[in-house]
Amino acid sequence: MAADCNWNANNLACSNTWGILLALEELRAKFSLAGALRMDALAFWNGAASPALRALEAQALAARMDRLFVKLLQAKYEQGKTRPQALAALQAALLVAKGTVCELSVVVDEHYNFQGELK
Amino acid sequence: MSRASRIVAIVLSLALGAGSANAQDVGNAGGAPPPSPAADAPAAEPTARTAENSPADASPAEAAVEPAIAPVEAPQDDGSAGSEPSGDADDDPQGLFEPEQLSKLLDALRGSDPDEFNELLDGLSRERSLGRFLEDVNFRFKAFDAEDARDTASLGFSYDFHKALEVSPGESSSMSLVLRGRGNVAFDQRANPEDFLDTGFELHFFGARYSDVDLDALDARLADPATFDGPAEPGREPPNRFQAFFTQMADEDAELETVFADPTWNDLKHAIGDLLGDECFWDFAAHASVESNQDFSSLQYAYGLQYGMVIRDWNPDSNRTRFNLFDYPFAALRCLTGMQSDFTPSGRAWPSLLVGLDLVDPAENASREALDETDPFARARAELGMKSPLAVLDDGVVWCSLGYRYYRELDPPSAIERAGLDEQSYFAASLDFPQGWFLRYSTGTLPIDARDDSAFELGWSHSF
Repeated sequence: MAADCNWNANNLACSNTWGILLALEELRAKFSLAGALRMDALAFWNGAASPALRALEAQALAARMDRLFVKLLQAKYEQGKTRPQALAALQAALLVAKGTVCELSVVVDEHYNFQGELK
Repeated sequence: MSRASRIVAIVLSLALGAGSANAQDVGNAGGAPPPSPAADAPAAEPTARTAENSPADASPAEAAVEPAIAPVEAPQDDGSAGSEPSGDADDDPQGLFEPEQLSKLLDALRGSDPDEFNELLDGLSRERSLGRFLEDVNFRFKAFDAEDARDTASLGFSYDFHKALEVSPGESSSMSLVLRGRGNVAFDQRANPEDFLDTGFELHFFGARYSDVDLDALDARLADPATFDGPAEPGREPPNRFQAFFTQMADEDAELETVFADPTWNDLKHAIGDLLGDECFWDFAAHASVESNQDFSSLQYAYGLQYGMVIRDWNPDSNRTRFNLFDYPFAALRCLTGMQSDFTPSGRAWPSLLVGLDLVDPAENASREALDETDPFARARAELGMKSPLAVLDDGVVWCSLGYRYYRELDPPSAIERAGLDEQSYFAASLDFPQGWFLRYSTGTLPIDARDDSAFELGWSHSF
C-alpha cells in the first residue's frame, strides 16, 4: 500500500469502496485487510486476457461502481467533477496492476461526495 | 547492440542507480569494483545520495539482491569513472555501457530470479520520479521459459500502461482518448513466448444498459425506517442505510461471516441485483498502434475499429444466468469443492468479447519482407476472455482465467497463405490461488511472433 494512502474506517470513501467491491464480489476480505489488496487481485482482472479486453472489463467495473455509488449510496459528484471524469479516473486506477484498493479509494474520494461526508 | 537491449540497459541502470544503497553493498559483498558514478546516479536523479538510500538504510529485501545486481558494476572497467560515487548530474546514462560490457551484463542477468529484481523495484519510492514512472507503466521483471529455448529460464521484463487523457461529457455514454502500450522483453529473445510489443492510442465511445429500475421502490428500500440507522449527526445529511452498514462493518472490522449474516447484507444484494440486473456494457473504439517484436527487427503499424461487449446478469434465477454454458464446467468444480451447493452457473462469468478490424502496415516485418509481401493488409481479430471462481481456500478464492485470441488476414496473397502467416491464434489459461501462487499456460502465436510456442509459468506474487 502506498505510504501516503490512509486506509481508515472513518473515511467514507474507504468504507464505501470496500463495501461496494465486497458486494460486487470483486474482493473477499474484511475491511482491515482489503486496503492493501492489489488491482490484479480483484475478480475483474483476467491475467489470461489481452490488455484491450482487460481495459474493457475495467471500464465496465468503473461504470458499475459509479452506478452503485450514485444510485445506491446516493453520492454526488464532487464540485467540478463529472461522470465521465469519474469513470475515466476509476478505470485508470483499476488498470494499475500494483495499485491498491486504498489507492482506488483515494480516486473515489476525489470524485464522489457521499452523504454525510464532511465538506 | 539492438535498441531493445540498450533500453534494457538504461532502465536497469536507472533502477539500480535509484537503489544506490544496494549497488554499493553489492560491490563490497560480491568483490566487484565499486559502482561508477553513472551507474549510481542517473541524470534524472542528480541528488541520489540521500539518507533514504544510504547503505545503512538498506532493507533486508534489498540486501537479498546483492548477487543478482553485482554485474552492474561492470561500467567501472572502462576507466571513464572514478571509484568514488559522485552523483554527477551530468552523467549520461546512455553512455554507461560499451557493447561488450552490456553483453557481459546481459549474460550475467540471464537465469536470474525476477523476484529479486522486483523486490528492488518495490523498494523504489513513489516519491521519486523513477519509482513513480516504473509503477505507472507496471514495469515488472519476469522469467521466461519456452520449450525451444535453453533449459534455464531467461530473465526479462514486462510493461503495461493505459492512460486516459481526455473525456467528453455524457450521461449514458462517454468518449475518451487513451494512450497505451504493453509488451514483454526477454534478455534472451529466443526464450520469449510472447515476443510482441504494442503501443498506440484509442478513441473510445462507450456506454452501458442496465435493467429498468423502479427508482421509487428503491428509494423506499433505501429509507426503510425499520433498519434506518437513526438521525444524522448535527450539520450532516442523514446517512444512507447501506453506507451506514459499510461504515459499521468497517469500523468493527467485522469478519466476513458476520457481514454476510447481517440482514442488511441480504437486502444489499437484492438492491444491487435490481440496480444492475441484466447488465450490458459496450465499447466502440477507433485505434492506431505500432506492433513490433522486442528488438524492433519486425515492425508494423495497425489502425482500425474495435467493438467490445461485457454482459453480466446479477439475477441468479434469470434465463441468461442459466444458459451460461461456458460456466457449467466451473460450476461443477465449485460443487465438488463445496464452494456452492447447487449446480448452477454464474451470470457474472459470461465471457467478454472483443472483435476488431484492422488495417495493418507491415513496414519492416521481416517475415513478410522475406516473402516480398509488404503491402498493407486488412486483418480481423476476435478475443474471448472469462474468469470464474473454482473454490474457496483459506478464506480466499481460487480463480480460473481463460483467454483466446484469433487473428485472420483478409484475402491474403497466396505466398502468405503458404507460409502460414495469414492466421494466428493464442490461448492462455491461469489458475490463481489466494496466497499469491499462480499456474499459467500459454500456447499459439501472436502477430509478428512467427513461432508457435507453448510455455508454463509457475510463480508467486506478493503485495508489499
